[in-house]
Amino acid sequence: MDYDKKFEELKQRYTLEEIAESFVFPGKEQTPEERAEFARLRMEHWNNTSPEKRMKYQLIGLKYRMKHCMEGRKESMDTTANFLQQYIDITNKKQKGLADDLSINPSTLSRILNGKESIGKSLAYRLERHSGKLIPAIYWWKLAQKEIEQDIMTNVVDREREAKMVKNALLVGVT
Amino acid sequence: MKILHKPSETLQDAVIELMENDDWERVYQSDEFEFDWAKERKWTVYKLTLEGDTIIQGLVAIEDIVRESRIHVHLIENALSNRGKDKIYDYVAGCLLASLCEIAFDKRYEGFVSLHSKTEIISLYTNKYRFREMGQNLFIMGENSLLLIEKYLR
Repeated sequence: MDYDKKFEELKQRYTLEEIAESFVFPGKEQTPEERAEFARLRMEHWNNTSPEKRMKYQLIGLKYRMKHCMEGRKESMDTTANFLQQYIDITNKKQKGLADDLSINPSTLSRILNGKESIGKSLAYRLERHSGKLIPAIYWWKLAQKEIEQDIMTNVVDREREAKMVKNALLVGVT
Repeated sequence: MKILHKPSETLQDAVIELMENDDWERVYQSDEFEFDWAKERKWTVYKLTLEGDTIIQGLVAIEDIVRESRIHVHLIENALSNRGKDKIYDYVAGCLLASLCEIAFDKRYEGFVSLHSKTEIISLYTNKYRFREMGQNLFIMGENSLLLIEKYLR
């Protein structure tokens, strides 16, 4: 597409401000040297980020991965356990260290990371506080609930095991 | 996220999603878009719609440049009815750009989004969206990306 021609057309109909409010399209084609220079400058910015800022931005990245997962975006789908593992990696914690910080038993944290236990309300609050409020408790809670919902819909083994524990089940409605 | 319905001055819920096959057909047959979006299918293309609606209010084509840890914007176009002084919905391009900042955090790029623009309108992107100039390109990252997200997606 001839963007110069299109730009001239648009200028007949819109002010420059209106164009900037409604479009982004490229200017003149960049040379390989210009592209290489931009890549170099980009990596310079990357290398200049302080460790504190990097951790903050990585935690914000985790928050948006969790948000996009909640929204059902295919490219961000993951499990709560994996999100929690990412949290541990970003904060450079050992499992035991994080369990201590959160005042929970290391075995509880291990069970959550192995997908054998869900994150409850208390832990969601604690993770929110631990992240400096960068990751809201509701994100952990909603993702955990989504997994429980999925489990209830598909887990035949648990349903049958729990059914065996029931006495005097009402016959109404049983087919 | 919310876009502003100008006639009623009310904010309405909107969503950004990846384009699907049905959407492409709608875009090709629509008079609302004048750029050749068929040529953009090689990139990742997102649409902005009102929640629960199929009418596309704006489109963005991006490239995920992994080796440079950045999202590059190739094209943004508001639907015809959302342009100029008589636009129906405002904040469409702002919401699209802010969503790209979110994606750039999601992908561990520290919110780095770049675009390449006509020289005549560079200052408008820097003033309105806090983009900065770097050579021939514009970029936004870090705290400025967070401010854009806060402005358009809160």
